[in-house]
Formats: sequence, C-alpha cells, structure tokens
Amino acid sequence: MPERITLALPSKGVLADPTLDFLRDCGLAVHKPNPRQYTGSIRALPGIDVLFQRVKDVVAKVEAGTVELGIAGHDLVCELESDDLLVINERLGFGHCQLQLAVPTTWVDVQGMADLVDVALDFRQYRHRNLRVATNFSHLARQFLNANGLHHFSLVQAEGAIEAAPTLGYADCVIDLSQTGTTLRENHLRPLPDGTLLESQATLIGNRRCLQAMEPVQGKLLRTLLELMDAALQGRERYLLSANLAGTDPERLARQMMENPVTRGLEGPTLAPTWNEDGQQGYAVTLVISADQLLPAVQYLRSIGGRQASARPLRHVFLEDSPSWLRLQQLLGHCRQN
Amino acid sequence: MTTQFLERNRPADILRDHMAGYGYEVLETSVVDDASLFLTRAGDRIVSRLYTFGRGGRELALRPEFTSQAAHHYVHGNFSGVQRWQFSGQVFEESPQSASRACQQMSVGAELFGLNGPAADAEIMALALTGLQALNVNNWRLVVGHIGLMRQMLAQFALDERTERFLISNLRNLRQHGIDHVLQQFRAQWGEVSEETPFAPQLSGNIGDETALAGLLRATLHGTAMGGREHRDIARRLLRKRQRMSELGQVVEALHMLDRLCQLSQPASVAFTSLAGLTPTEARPVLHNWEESLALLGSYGLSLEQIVIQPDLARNWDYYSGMVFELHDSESRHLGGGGRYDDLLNFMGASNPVPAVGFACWLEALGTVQPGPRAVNSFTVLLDENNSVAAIRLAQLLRFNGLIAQLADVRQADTLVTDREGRIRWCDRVYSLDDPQGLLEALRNA
Repeated sequence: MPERITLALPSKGVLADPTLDFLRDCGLAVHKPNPRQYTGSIRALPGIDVLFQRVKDVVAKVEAGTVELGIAGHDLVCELESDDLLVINERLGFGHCQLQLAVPTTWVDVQGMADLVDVALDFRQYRHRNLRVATNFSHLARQFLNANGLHHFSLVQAEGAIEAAPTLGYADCVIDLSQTGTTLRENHLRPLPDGTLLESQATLIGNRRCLQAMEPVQGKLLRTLLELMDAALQGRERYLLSANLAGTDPERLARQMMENPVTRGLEGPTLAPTWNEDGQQGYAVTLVISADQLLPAVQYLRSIGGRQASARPLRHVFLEDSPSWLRLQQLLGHCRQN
Repeated sequence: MTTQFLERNRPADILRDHMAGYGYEVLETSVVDDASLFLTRAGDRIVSRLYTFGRGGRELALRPEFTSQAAHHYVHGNFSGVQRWQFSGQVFEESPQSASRACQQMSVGAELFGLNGPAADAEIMALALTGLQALNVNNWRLVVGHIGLMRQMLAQFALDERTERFLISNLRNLRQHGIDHVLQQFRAQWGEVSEETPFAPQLSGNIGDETALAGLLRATLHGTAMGGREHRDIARRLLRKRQRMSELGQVVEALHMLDRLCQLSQPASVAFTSLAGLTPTEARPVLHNWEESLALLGSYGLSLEQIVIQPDLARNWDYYSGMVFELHDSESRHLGGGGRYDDLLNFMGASNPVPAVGFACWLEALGTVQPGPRAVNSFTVLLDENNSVAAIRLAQLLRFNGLIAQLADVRQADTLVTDREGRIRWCDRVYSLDDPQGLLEALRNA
C-alpha cells in the first residue's frame, strides 16, 4: 500500500529489546499483539507497519526494497556496502560495539597489525598455508587486512561462536564484534590495539529507491517518525537547568551567560525576575544545556551570582527542523543529481 | 560497437602474427584457475586486487596475467628444453584508481622457457619492442632494471630474507620519501621489543638466546588458544624480531646503497660506467651479462638511445629474479613490461632449474595507437531482396580468395553491386561473376 511505510526491526539478539526501548522513549511504542507474530504496529503512527526480522534480514530486506526502513547495526550496513542502502541516522545511541581483530593471548610476540603481517608471512614460509581469519564480515575484513599490508590470508566463514575458532583449531585469529571484550577474554583472545575495524551502534536505514519514490503521505509519516526520533536523541543529551541568580541587571546577566558556551543554551537563556524574603530582586534563569556540561554550567552560574540550581533530564528536544530529515533530503537530492 | 571490436583486436592480430614470425606458438589458458597458482609469487599489490571466489571448496581466481599459468603448464605438461609460447586474452585485476574502473584488459605477450643468458633476455625485449614498432609505436621508451643485481648488491649486508624483501618492496617509497621515511616504516613494522611487550625482560639485556627461548617457552605454556602456532613458533619469532632489530645498522647501510642506486636513472650509454662503481666484485658477471643483453638489442635494429637504465625498477610480481623492464611511449604511458623469473618454475614443482623470461603488454594502453594499413582488404557487397543469391556467392568468392567481405543493405560509393544476370558493378566498371579474375585482381590492388 503506497500510503504506508514498513519499518523492519530486529526480532532477537542484542539489538531486539534495546530497539523497542528506544522507540518507546521516542513516543513510538511498538504494539505486538502476539509474541509469536512477526508483525506489529505503532499506535502513535498508525501508517507505519512493523516487521520483525533477524537483524541480518533487516538489512537484506531494506537493501532489496521489500521494506522502506529498518533498524540494524552499523557494522552490517558497512559490510553490505550497497548503493541502495541509505543511512538516515547512524547514531541511535544504543547497541554499541566494536568490530575487532583478536589474536590468541598466547601470541605474546604479536603486539599490533605489523606483527600479524610478519606472522602471516611465517605461516606461508614455514607451514605453507595462509593465516586463517575467522569472521562473518568478509568484505570489511578483506579491506582492513589489505589496508594494513596483510595480503596472504584465508577467511574462514563460521556461523556463531567465531571466538572459539582458534581454540577449536580451524582458524588462527578472529575478526568479530565485541561489546565488552568479555567473550574474547573468556576464549583466550586479545584484541590488537590497532586492530579495530569500526565502532558500531544501531542505525536507522532506508532503501534509496523506495524513499525516492515515496508518496507525499508517506513522506509526512517518515518526517514525523524522524522528528520524534531526533527529539528523543536530542533530549537524551540535554538537561533543563534552572537557577536563581542575584543581580538587578538582566541584560548584564544575559551577556555573562552568553559569553560562556556552556551557559549559552540553545538560543540564549530565559530570565524571569524573582524577589526573595528580604525583598531583594534577582533572576531565575532557565537553560537547555548539554548533559556533559552540567557541572561546568553550574559552577559558572555560581561565579556570576548563582545560588540554588536544579536540573532535569529532558525527554524530547525539538530543534528548528529534524536533522535526520534534512540529511535524508540531502542524500536523496544528491542522488537525483546523479 | 563492431568497429570498436575490430579496432581493438587488430593490434592483437598484428602482434600474434609478429610473434609467430619469431617462432612463438599460441598458448591458450583458462580464464578461471586456482587462486593459489597466481598467489605463489604475487606481489602484495597484486594479491589485494585479484578477483577470487570459492566453489566446491576450491579457491579460484580470474587470471590476472599469463606467466604463472604458462610456467605451470611447462612444469606439469612435461615439457623440456626450449619452448617459445605466446598468449593473448583478457586479464582481470581490480583497479580502483583507474578512471574507467576497468577490471579487465586485453593482454598480449610471450614466454621463453629453457634459455638463459643475454641472448634470451635480448630476444624477449626485442620481441616486445619490434612488436610495438609493428603497431607504429616508434617512440617507445624501454626502462630496464635488474632485481638479481640488486639482490647480489644487498647480499653484502647479510640481511634477513624478509628484511631484504621489505627493502625491495619499498624502493618507490625510498625514491619518493627518502631513507628516514623507509627506516621509520621498518621500525614500525618490525619495531624493537617495547616495554609493553609481555615478557619483555626475557628479551632484553645480555640474556643468551637459549635462555630467552626457555623462558619464553615457560611463559607461553599456560595458554590454550594457539590458533595453529606452537609455543616454539612464538618464542622463535620473538627472538628473530630481536635479531632483526640488531641488524638495524646494516639496514641503514643497505638503504644508503639503494638510495644511490635509485638516483642512477640514466641512458644506457652512460649508466653502466656509474653502475660498475657501485657493484661489488662478486656481482660483476651479472652486470656484464645485463650490459651485453642490451647491447644485443642493437642487432635487432633497435635504437639504444631509447633505453633508460633504472636499477631500482621493481615490478609488481615477486617472481622476477633478474632483468626487469617496462615499456613506455614518449608520453610516459605504461604500455607493458616483463623480465626474467628463473625461480618460478621451481616453485611450481620443477625438479631442475628452468630459466624463464617473458613480457606482456596491454592493448587498452595502446588504444590510441594507430596501426598501419590493413594487411587484408575489406569490401562491402550490397544485399537486397532481388540479388541475395548473387550477393552471397560474390561474398564467398572474395572470402575464398583471402579478402574480407561483408554484406550490407546500404549502398555506398565503393560497395560491390550484383544483379541477377551475374554482373558485378564496382567503381564504375562491370565484371562477371562467372569470370571473376579481373575483379579479384582489381580488388587486390585496391
């Protein structure tokens, strides 16, 4: 149905629950009538159908254009490297992991990729075979190894339990995803300091052709979806900071706050006059600040006469326009010029 | 499309005939072959550009060149003695930098097996150069280097085999960025054992090799994931790493020697005098043979003025062991190259040494070259519904007599036109199909 949009979500694995949590935080709670069904809906946006798939299939279906949108790990998107896949938002803020090259901990002589290149030559010279690298990311692995001057290797494809391959003896080292490094350590593997292929997290992807051919109704739906996602992501990173400031000159106070980037707010502070018990005039200031600047902001406010301050996390921050929507327009516009 | 096809293949035809004249038989090789065949001695740059894929447990590759297949054919086809083979066909290599992103190109070349010495080297270079001349490329430039001589010159520094390979593969870096840059690369690649290295104490100080080895063996015994290596491999490599860094002084000296060599890009007429000054006594015979092979090119009527000696020239395939060369035109376009690869056949399984030398050139690089006039005349015969039988008979007659005939439904000034009575009109004259001698003579002289 051309007036609807299908969003594919991971049905299981490490991304499944965090994806539903993320959408709920965006005000886009997914309703799944039956846990055994593969479809769902978003009551806040009735025009969107939800399809649950294995995360690999999410990427494959978006790439094929069977569904318009999907949420999947950035690693899988990079591995597929398709012109039809558009990354609409590459940082949804969850599902963080790294794609890393790891060697057995017993390989004490291997401290970096340069050593591994030398070991690969040893394998050819003394064992008459290539270094075997177990991975599910053959495209990224090949690119990375070649870029590091490692050319003689064989990739060993394995479904699951990649980390066990060196212990089981069918690979020499691995290139695999790691969140905390625990699984690697438990399998006696050690990531190389210069062996990180990419830092990944959940991304929102779309099919280029489908999005180019969207009807206006679908465009409106998509824009709302992106607005809500962006607002939640912006909200996560910000606090609403309120403080009482001593002083009688609001312009001077505003200027002092504008002078420091951490107290500048989104578009400058809001000041409202206050009177304390002693009848002294002051001002209440309200600011939206970056979450990582909370303490520097409070300290600065103190230095210009601030007294009490309180801060609340924000759930949604709507900017002038949705950054993801603007980015998408740019991507599709660029494509049209081609 | 047809025109492009014909034009592109004409140089290949000309070169094929040209090489047949030197006794080179045509060798057909398969487009898809075992990847390991090409990987045996491929240089690093080539390995990353091979098109490989797996089928039924075999790793296969699209052929990136012909030499490995020819060498394999010689060894496993039980050939012996001197063999001269030529080849032509598409070769495949990913070339991301190429503007056209072309992944395949037409390659033509030859291999000479079983013949050593300056005469064989000269024959292959002459075959390539006279081939270019047959294509009207008279402004060629031959750039010649010598991997064998360079190895002999490096031998005086008694370097680890891998260090020597590193230096040879970094010649371009040396020329472009200087000694310090390459040295930095060397340290980065095989750097000193840093303090962060586990078991660094076992590797430092005045500890003897055996003691270090024993310590390392003990230290690495508790791991379970070995990934195809044994404790001894790891310990030995750590010691080798230390050994390699202890050769740093020799590496610096070798780099200075190579640097002087890199600056020796000179015309053949003067280069050998300068080279003699740099060449150690034991490498003099190699230098002498090299000079002789170039002098022999004069006997082929080739101008020695067009030859430049670049001693550090290193080609992309690791199998070269002696003289190497590249073919350029006056605008420095790379048209092809080749060289001597005496070790490759042993790597392929030959029990005795088999000297080998060859070259290849790429027809796309020759794309803008205008070949000389066609060796065989081509004619168009008018085909319409009234005269199809006579037109086909005429076309066949021309073909049987060694001419090229095409049927066309559009008449042009030089089109041959037949009628039902067997008359043929061509260039305002009338001939008879029953008595075609006059026509054939006129066509041959056209």
